[in-house]
Amino acid sequence: MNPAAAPPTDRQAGREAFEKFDAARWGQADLAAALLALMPHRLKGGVFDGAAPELAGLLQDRLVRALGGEAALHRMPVSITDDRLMGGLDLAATLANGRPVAETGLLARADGGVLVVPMAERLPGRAAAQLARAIDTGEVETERDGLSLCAPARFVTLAFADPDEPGEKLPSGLGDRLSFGLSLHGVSPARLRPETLTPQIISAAREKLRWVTVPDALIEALIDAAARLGIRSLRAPGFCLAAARGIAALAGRDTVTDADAALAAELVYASRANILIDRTEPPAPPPQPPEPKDEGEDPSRPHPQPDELTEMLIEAVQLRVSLDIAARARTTRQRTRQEVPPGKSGDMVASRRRGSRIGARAGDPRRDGRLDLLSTLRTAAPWQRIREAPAGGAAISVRASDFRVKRFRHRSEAVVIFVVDASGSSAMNRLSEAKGAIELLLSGCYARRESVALIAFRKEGADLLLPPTRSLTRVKRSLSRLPGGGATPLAAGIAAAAQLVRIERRKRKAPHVVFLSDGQGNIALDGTAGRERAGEDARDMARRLKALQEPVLFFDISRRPSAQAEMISTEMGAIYRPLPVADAARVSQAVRSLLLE
Amino acid sequence: MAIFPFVAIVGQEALKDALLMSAIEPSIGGVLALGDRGTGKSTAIRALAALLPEIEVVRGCPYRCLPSAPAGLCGVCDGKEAQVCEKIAAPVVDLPLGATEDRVVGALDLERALSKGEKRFEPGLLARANRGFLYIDEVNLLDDHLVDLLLDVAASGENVVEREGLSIRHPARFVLVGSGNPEEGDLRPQLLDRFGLCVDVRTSHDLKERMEIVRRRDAFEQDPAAFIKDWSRKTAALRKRVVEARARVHTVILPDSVLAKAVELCLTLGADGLRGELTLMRAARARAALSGETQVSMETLKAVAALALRHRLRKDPLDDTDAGVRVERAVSEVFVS
Repeated sequence: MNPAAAPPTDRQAGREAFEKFDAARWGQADLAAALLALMPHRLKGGVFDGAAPELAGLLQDRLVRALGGEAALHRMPVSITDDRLMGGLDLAATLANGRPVAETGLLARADGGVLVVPMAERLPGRAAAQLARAIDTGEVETERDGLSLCAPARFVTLAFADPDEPGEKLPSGLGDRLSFGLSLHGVSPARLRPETLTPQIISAAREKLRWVTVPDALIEALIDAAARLGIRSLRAPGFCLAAARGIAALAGRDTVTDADAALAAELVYASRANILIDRTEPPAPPPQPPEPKDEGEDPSRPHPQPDELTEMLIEAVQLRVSLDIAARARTTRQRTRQEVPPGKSGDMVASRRRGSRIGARAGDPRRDGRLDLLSTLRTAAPWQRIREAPAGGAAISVRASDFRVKRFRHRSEAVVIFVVDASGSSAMNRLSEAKGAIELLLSGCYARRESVALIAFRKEGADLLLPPTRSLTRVKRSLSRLPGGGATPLAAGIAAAAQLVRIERRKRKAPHVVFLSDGQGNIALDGTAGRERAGEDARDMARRLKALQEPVLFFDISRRPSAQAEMISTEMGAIYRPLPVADAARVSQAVRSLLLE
Repeated sequence: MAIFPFVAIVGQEALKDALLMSAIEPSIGGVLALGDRGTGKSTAIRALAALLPEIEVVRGCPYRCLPSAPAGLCGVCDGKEAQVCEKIAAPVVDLPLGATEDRVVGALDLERALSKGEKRFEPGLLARANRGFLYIDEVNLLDDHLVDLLLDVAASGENVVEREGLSIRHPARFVLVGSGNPEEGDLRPQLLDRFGLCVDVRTSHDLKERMEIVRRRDAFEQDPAAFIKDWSRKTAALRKRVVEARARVHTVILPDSVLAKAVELCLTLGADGLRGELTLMRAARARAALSGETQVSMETLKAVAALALRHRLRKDPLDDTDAGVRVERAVSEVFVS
């Protein structure tokens, strides 16, 4: 939640540098489009962060033109339902024609074209998994509503994401399957260069592609670089290798050069690199110093210096990553200055009982919830000719066994957000108990029903140490080392919690907030020290959190219950519990009994 | 869709072993493959189809009945017409995400019902998977009630459908294979131990191995047909091994001394219930059969212990130790004495 980079010191020079950089980044997007057109089935697609809408439109146009102008564009809305995505029974046509009529789903319709996924970071895991499967297999299998279909589904996927809010990330299974990941933050469509990679160049490259070779040392360096950039998936080096080959073909070369590989690495690795952002996980061990006893060096390699090549690739990627971070920081700062205070217009204040529909199942609407009319009719449709005509002249005969009730995501998708005071001397103890409580919660019997997040506040601000997750594995990985100590920016902690609440609500989850704090802040929102301002800010933020009307639980961790903590707790509309000695088991128990059950 | 050959998969020995063992001894109870993205879980499972021995069926029977024991449910094997035998590839059914329950268990035949007003059962995916494999990718994304249903059927070997005058009971014996990424949500513990074997699939950190993986994948993507052909001899050889092992697995001897160690191992680990011991024994037999041995050795037992037991340990949320390591530790304890 801290801006990732400092602003350029010299404004003028900074702006010029950025303009050049913008042009370069657009050039990359253009190159990515050309490569996707060149080898659509091999490279699958790309993820584009922070592209302005016009820019996204331009990119789509260029891709369509590069694909020969025939390819159709299809959009995949985030809220798409299973039947629209996969296809199913067309109820109206089925009843009208007296025979089953299938409705083609989006994935099958997109075959041979381009699938555009706007706001991909909000795509629910399930839809993302269905898309991922189609990308893997090139076909879509549908087993729904009594229909069994299999249709080809080979398309190029352009995912557009705007993850300016921390905690919002593209479903990882999807990102992993699309070769390119580019950041287009702040690239202005006005400064675009005319298209350089014309359809003619691309079709010439297609002829060339089969004959392009890659030197062994370069393959090794590409793979090694991926490992050392903390990229675990082996899809990435595969994509990178293919992209490097494509770049050489576009340039009319028979052999991939080091520069081609570096360009490919920027396109593929920069968005996946784990090193700069997160150093907690040790990078994969560098290749063992080339086992000297092992039958000598491979003589087939002309000049065995893959290490240098690897370094070169890593540097190219690292440079790209830091430039991207700077560009993102710049644009998000601009945006927050102009607009959007809390409560964006898009926020939905959905009742916790409702939540989003995730399907239907057989059941009795009087007992199991709301009737799903459409699914019920769909279930009844095949039986119409078998059953006797309904009495009273009704058009359709529906029996109790046809009833389908809606299934909601409601309570089952709770997110428990822990907000922990990590300041002062007892921080480590508190954090480790919070971590313990999180693990206990997750390993409970109904583990998969809740996800958990952790925000810690200390020194000048609040950090999202653990984005919402249901995975015990991930908790253990990411919380192995926790920072602690310093001053107490309580207001920032509450603000961060409120922001995460909003994000989670937009994903139609039911957020619950748990504070572990003594209610005594000494750092104001703007980072300045001073109890008075800090207290005021904290109260303001607390009221904002209350306005969101989500359940909050406040553990007062002062040695004896303090008036100030109770006051803050009341301001945020929280349930107040004194807890002089932090204790994982008691925290998790209280969370379960007071919030979740 | 061209499928990457099983024999060309680099590394992932545990996963490959587990799948082959299940192919040899289906009663092991399925395989759950958990692990990182892009480690080739799906690739290995989909590739297994090419290695499975052919099965003999009644031609045209949607339930893939064994000719010597037809269930008599369909128009072909109800005995009114002469039955013809044929050999077909063992099915590996890929359960599509978002499949509705009616297509999984089977339901009214839409076409017939709508056009002729006839009430007829149309078998679902469970029938299609009979005598083969049923694969669920991203098992953690599947609805709980569907997973429960699949596990029930996999355990009982029979699918029961009761609905408005349709009353069907058909054989559905299949090996359930699931895969998922635990970072996207852990599986319910009740579900975990209903799979026979559990594999922890990791990305290789060995540079040479990683290179070979990427190279082979690249060659495959460039020309799938040629790549498959290059590997066809090895595929045929492994397939032959599986077929032979399958014929032999029930004659593999499990010495009392090995059995005693197996029981002791389960006790040490607190891997509750008979299921652990049974799986361990069956897996050990299958593994011995695959290696061409006539009796289970201690080494074989050790080799399958983690696969069969790692997901049956009682979970201690504050103990970070990997389950596989805990099994290994117990193995070395038990085998010292």
